[in-house]
Amino acid sequence: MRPRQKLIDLFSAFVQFEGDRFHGWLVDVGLRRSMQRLLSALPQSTREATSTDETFWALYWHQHWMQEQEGHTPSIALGHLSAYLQEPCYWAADRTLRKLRDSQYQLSDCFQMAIADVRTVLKRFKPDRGANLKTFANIAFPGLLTERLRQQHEADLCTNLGLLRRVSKRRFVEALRQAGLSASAIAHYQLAWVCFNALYVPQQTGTKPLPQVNNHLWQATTTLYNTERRNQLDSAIPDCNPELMERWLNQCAGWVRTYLYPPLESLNVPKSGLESKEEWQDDLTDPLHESLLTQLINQEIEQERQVQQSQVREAIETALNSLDNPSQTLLRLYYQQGLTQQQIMEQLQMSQSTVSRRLTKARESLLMAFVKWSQEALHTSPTPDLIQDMSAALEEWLGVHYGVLNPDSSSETADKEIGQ
Amino acid sequence: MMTFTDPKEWWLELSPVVEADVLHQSQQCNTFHSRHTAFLNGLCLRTVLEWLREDAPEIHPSFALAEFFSIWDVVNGAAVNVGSTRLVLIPSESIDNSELAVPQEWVDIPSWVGDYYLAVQVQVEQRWVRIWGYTTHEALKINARFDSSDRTYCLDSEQLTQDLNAFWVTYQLCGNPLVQAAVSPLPELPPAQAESLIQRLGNPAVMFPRLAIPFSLWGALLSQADWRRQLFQQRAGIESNPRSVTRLGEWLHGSFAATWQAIETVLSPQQSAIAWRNESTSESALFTVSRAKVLEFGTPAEVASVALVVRLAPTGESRVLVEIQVCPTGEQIVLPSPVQVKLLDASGGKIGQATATVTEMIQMQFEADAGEQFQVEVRSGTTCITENFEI
Repeated sequence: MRPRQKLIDLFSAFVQFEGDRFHGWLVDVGLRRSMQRLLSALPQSTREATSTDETFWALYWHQHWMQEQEGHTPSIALGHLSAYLQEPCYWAADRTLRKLRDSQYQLSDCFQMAIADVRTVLKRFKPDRGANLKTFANIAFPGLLTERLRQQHEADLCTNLGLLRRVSKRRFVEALRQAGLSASAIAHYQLAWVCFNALYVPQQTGTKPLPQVNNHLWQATTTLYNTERRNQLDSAIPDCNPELMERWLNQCAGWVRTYLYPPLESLNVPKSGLESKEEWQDDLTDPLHESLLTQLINQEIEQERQVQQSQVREAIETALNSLDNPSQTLLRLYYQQGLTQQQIMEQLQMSQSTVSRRLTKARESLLMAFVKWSQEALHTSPTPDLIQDMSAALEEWLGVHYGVLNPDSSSETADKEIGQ
Repeated sequence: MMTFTDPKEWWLELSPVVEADVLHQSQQCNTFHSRHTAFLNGLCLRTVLEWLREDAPEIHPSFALAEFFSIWDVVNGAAVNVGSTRLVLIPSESIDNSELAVPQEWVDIPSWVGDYYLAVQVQVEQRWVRIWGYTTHEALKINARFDSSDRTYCLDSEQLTQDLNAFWVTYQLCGNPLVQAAVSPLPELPPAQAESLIQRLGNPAVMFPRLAIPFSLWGALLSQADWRRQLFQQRAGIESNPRSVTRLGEWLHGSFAATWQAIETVLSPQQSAIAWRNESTSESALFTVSRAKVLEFGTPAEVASVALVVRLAPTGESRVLVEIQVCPTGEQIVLPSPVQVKLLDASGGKIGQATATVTEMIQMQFEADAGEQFQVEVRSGTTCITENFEI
């Protein structure tokens, strides 16, 4: 895969797949025009300073996106950022796919799943900590993708009605909302769902699957629903009957599966993670524009934060070296080589629970050492919020340190270095 | 298999020994639903205790383990105390970790309130439990959405801290920060009102007792250990409730409870014939009164039921010959296997026992005096139903 170099391409082009291989970059004309206009509207000096600085523009668009209202039409900021994050997404998909032993997924499928989480990545990114969006994304995307794959895998193992037991209330309601149901209809289906879940209980002898669905179950569910309905909802709607109940719940199961675990299609279109037919909402007349630019330019000159960043890097490195060897090995295997729990288990001849516990504790010790250092050296007192922030900073550091972030150079050489 | 462990989470393996133990204990709960709840919560509680004990040996469950079952019979959630900090564990089987839904009991009952609330994903088939996020009591009260349809405080996953490393380091370094919001005290519940509520909610056919009465009453009821226990026992039909005893003496006067029906209503003509076949014609005249009750085993989806038939024949002034039969109902010809029937005296001592694998019925006979009490225990699969009688 050939990474992009030019600034305008970075914020306006999308990966194109052909078959399952990277085919090229496809530029979205709306986004390109937007970047061109912005750049030409800047005073000469600013334009020169920023035309090669992707970090500046990433922060600019991110600030813009954060300050927007949630609307239906995808904003232009989101468009630019989705374009920007194509490489981290691609590498996340590539890396993760290699971890899967036997997989029905192709690279383009994984890419599509990864980019679907772009909003989550943007939401979690905290620019004020001096972080770099691309670095952050390189670390965040793989985690989100593996989680998505895990969920998809588990959902595939469920029958439709079985899936109803394994969905959260939040997603259940969202799925029905997306299917176009009114609020009162959703309330009724939700009650039916709750009653069904109270009765459709697995038999827990060993790994016995859920019992057969039969008429008796629908009858029982209907009876419970009709009773509860009188207590919980307004009983203007007549009683339900078993045939209707069965239909309702099968419908719900279908909507849930479509919403949460849609079937993947390997399409050869720009993977922007957004509906391809929508027009970018253009906003050059936006009042945020001027103030944001000035703000960012000032931030760019800030030296203090740079110094602190290198102190932090050193501190974490020291903390890492002070961990015992097994812990260091585990962290290296996880962060650098990206091994799964199972692979680590095999390599180190340890049980899965031992690997998991030691890995967690290793990172915890690292965090503890880091926090203590900041107490002594920077005189910060540990608060819950600060500790959370420091853990996030630690995550980034680990990604950088273990060379996760060499994907812009040829992937083969990066692997050779890592594979020692 | 795809288990990718994230060092920021706590990923705990389920021990088969613990699983079997919890499964067994969870059977004491009263509905299929609550047994499953007890199972998940028991697994969660035991596994987390073990995990945290290595770092914090002083950890202990917030209620006695036995107490928890009376809680799990009616609400989801477990709790442990580490020093003066309480962690409330909320298990869920959902695949998508999209939210944390904490039942109101754990947020608004003053004696139940926790400091931190941990989101636990339970995966029974794959044998693991995963703690993926947490929040504080304060955050729940301020930021969570209260859903009145199931009385839970709900936080989206984006609002949780999905970093257990941060949690444990915070716990160790920040002492016990004030993370609890103020909770209003619940009204005092007069004992008479509590009694009447327990009677009303003590019917296991009420599937969601926690939603059946206003929370101020429910919370007050649950906050007293005695009332909790009584409600649990009431729903289990345990002998502390005089109503669960069937008075056979009344049968001789023609008075029967609704659950005891005429033989013909419960058994098909075929089955009645089989039942009668085991008695010689001269003896069958002895039994002046016979009634049958349907006992349900299995789950609502896979029902297996048997008929418990009781026949009486007075043999003296106050003496009665009692015959107990357990036979199949419906279209079944043989009993759902295996079935074990025990005859116990008033103190639970075993008088008789019969086990059947594949048979048409089980039968026992004995003589008893007026006023004597006995129990019939019918066990099939993992379910055990006890009927209490008094002559």
